[in-house]
Amino acid sequence: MKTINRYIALFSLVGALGLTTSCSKEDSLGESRLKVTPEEKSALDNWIDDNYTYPYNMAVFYRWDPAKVDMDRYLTPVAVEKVQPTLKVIDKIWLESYETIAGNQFVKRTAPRELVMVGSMNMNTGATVTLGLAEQGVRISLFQINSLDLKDKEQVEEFVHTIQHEYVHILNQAEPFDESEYGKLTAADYRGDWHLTTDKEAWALGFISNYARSNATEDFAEQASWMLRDIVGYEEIVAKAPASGRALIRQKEALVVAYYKRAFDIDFYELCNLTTANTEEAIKL
Amino acid sequence: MKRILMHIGVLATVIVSAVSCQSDNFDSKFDENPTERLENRRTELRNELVYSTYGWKMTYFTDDTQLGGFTHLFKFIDDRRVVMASDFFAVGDYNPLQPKESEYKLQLSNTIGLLFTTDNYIHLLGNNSIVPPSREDLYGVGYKGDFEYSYYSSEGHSIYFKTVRDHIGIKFERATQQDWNDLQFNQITSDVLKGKKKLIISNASGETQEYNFSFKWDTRFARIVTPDGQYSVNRNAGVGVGLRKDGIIISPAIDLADGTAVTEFRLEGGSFKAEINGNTVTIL
Repeated sequence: MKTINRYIALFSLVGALGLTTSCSKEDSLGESRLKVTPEEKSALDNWIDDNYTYPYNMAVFYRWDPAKVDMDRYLTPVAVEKVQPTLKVIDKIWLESYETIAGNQFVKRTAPRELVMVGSMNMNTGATVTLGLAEQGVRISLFQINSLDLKDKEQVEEFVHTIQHEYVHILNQAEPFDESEYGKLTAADYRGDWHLTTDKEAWALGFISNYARSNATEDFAEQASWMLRDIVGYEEIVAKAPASGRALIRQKEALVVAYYKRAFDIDFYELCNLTTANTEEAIKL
Repeated sequence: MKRILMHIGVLATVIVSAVSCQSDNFDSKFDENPTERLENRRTELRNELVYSTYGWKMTYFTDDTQLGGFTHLFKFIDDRRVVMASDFFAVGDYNPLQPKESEYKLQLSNTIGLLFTTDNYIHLLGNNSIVPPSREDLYGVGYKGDFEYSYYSSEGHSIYFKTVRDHIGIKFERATQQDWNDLQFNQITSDVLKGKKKLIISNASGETQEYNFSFKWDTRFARIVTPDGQYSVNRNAGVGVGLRKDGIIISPAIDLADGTAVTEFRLEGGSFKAEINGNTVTIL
């Protein structure tokens, strides 16, 4: 038995030696065969780095990247000369306002990681247009920038309204609102074909816009973003709404205000006042 | 017993050593690995694009069942910048006859792709809200153009691509200074073609077939049907038209009875004429 054990030990030793010595050829993986030289940055790229990437931890995509958009749609790049002026307006109204009220770390933490700028309109079947998209909480895509007049207050309000709306979705993903409590206020009046209805009809039923009627999540984002768009204009809409609708809109407003306080310790009215004031300044930039 | 054990041991050692030393070297069919081949293809395409003195000409038929061809001229300046002009219509602030600079990229995907990354005239074809006035049903798809192309080959003075979205074959032909000068005259050809009403096919024996011809300037599609409206050339309702200073090109080709086909017409004495193998096709 001793002899058998000795043979086993001997052969194991020889086998192990064979394994260790015969497989020691690949010492280094060597250099990458892919060309990995970073692309040269333009003055605009450097401006974006200084004003978006570093302060807000946000990448801005203005060069076309097919992976960032829906390939089934006929969309086109933003005009390069529109990029910086548009980003300045976005910064002034959206990011700077949140930063002032909630602090830089809040924006850095909650803002989407990617902002995708698309020049063309994004048309849907059914005669509607998608103005913006929030995807997986990490990306906001903005459309129709090439035809945006940055000196036209109404156009700027509509454009930033889209961003504010999408950002509310992202905040809701980070800190959910009570959807069942909010949704039951006007549960019977949500409908898929909201685009066949008017804003006026929506106000009477307790919605701030016809799009708010699509579902409770969109309703919440619309309620918040209409207030952020222009708090004075919002009050005018509410004043015009029939009494029954007005009461419901006020209840929704209270839930939005409470959500911002509870989830982020933000005084929502203070934020709305600032975004409204910053819009006035942005169109003069 | 000892001998048996010795044999088993030797055999096991040989097997272990042999298996552990198997090399993954094999007889490669190529001189380079796949990554190197792709990088070489990229360099090859880059050099082709950049080294053409007057750039490249492309007439892009985005959907030749209902739309015509739009000619674009590209001058690739370096690895990043391209100047282009086009015979697409003036839209808003865009005057496509005025050369405009933008960026492009050669990127790795299933093959090497040419992607026009920043706004220029090529994107007017792919804008969902720019449609022919006579075809409002095209809202949502526009002129159905793509601006990302997969590289397939280059032969002689041509480079062959396919669009990524619809896999439509497109050809870049080496451009001349004359092409840049002549682009502005394509509109005149369109105006001349608008006035044409008949297409006549004559064969070598003198037999003729007559069709009604109707060209729409906004779609650049010509409807070509028999006078009774029952049949069309190629059973395709008509052909897409690409404009030249001195004629037109069409897609698809008009197939003739003897198996030949025509794709190019010269403008001669107010008519557009194509000849092949004793056949004459005239638009007048």
